[in-house]
Amino acid sequence: MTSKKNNKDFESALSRLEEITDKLESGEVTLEESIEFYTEGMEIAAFCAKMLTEAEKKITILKEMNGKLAEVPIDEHKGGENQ
Amino acid sequence: MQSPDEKIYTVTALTRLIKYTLEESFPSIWVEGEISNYIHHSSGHRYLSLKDENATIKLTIWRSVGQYLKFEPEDGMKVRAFGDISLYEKGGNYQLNVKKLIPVGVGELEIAFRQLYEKLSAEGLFDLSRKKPIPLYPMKVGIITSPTGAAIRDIIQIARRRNDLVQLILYPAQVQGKGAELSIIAGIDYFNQREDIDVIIAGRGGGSLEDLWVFNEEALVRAIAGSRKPIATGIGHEVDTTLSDLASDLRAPTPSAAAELVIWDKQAYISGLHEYLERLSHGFSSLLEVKKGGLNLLISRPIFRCPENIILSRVQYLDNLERRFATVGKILFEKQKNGLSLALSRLESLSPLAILKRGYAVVKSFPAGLTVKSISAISKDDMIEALLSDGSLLARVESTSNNKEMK
Repeated sequence: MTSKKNNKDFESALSRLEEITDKLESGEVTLEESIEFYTEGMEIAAFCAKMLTEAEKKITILKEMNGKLAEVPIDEHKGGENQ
Repeated sequence: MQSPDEKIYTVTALTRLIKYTLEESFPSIWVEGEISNYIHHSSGHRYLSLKDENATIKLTIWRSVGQYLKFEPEDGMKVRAFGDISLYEKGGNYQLNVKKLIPVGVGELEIAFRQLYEKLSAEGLFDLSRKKPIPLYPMKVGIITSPTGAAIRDIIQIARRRNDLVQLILYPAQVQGKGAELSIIAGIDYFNQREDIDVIIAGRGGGSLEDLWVFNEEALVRAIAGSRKPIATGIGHEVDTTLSDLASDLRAPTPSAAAELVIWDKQAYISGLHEYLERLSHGFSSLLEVKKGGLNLLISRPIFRCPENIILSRVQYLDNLERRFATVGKILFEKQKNGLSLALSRLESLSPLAILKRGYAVVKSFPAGLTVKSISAISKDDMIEALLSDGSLLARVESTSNNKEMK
């Protein structure tokens, strides 16, 4: 719940990158625009790289505690009954 | 004729005797036949007949039994009924009070499945237009399955391999047996209340049709269709299709497949990023080349090769203009000059000197110098000066005469 990362960030980063790449490849941009696009692309890449390395893998299970459900780390070794 | 020692029964006594004999002789039996005249009464009780080629028997399913039926009986359906024969004294007829009813040939669960499918399908619960999109890059995935099943183990393994950014939260649910649907519905409700959950995976590993049956329970199917958050289902093996699968937003053949479809591949995402960046760099540099080529083309044009040309041509233009101006000015001047000499000659012709040149003289008194315009202003022996074109002469008047005398 502390994570500020958002699924929309990953989606919009990639779709924006796609958009500016397509525009740049179309050749129908001015030199100024192409510099802006290139700079923006590099910024997006840096942003994504940051998001992608802020890995904080968490697998939790909900357990009832004092009448409320709380997340606790899962004990993976207990899983596996064939059900 | 009736003999005196023969017993005479009352209707009631006889009926009771028959009832006793009948009910004692056929306690809890199975009977097989085809359903006809099926009525599901508003009281909740069901009335029907079972028949074969030669005979018919009436059946009653009381509401207390009927509510546990998994399927709705239909006319023409072949069934086996289990129950007791009982005799209804007032009507004088007998019937089988059904305790169990199972379909013959087709399984009861299959019938129940088909019937519920038709009902919910008619309501539009399985319509594609209802399906919510699964987010492309979910960060938090709610899982509803057994904490001890194969499904969660597989899902964790796949998540570990595909993406360590995605957080999994397991809602431990009961996935088979009586009341299991309530536990799964509670999980759906829980995750729908949490704002941070992007998508839900519900499912379980393989099992018998009965094991998977909970996913065909009407309440659960409705809860899945009604979920605000998108739900992916992976229930049993590939061959198993449940109504929950049909109602969900994404149907995966197994829980593992559901995880593969929902948990995005981080490495593929990074590759995609790199690909775009490469294309971006390449696109940028080729655009630069194009612009540079355009610039080269531009600076190779005469205007940039010999920039002085632009000035020279202007100078030439100016010279030309000047020349033209001078010519025009000269013409104008000549014209003016001609006009002037003409005017002068005209003026000259009007001069008295010119008149004198033609032989006229101006006569003035001497020494007064007054122009003599009439003979009355002059007398005999007066001195007059006559001005001619080239000089003057002095003379003495001998006589005067007027114009009449001259004629």
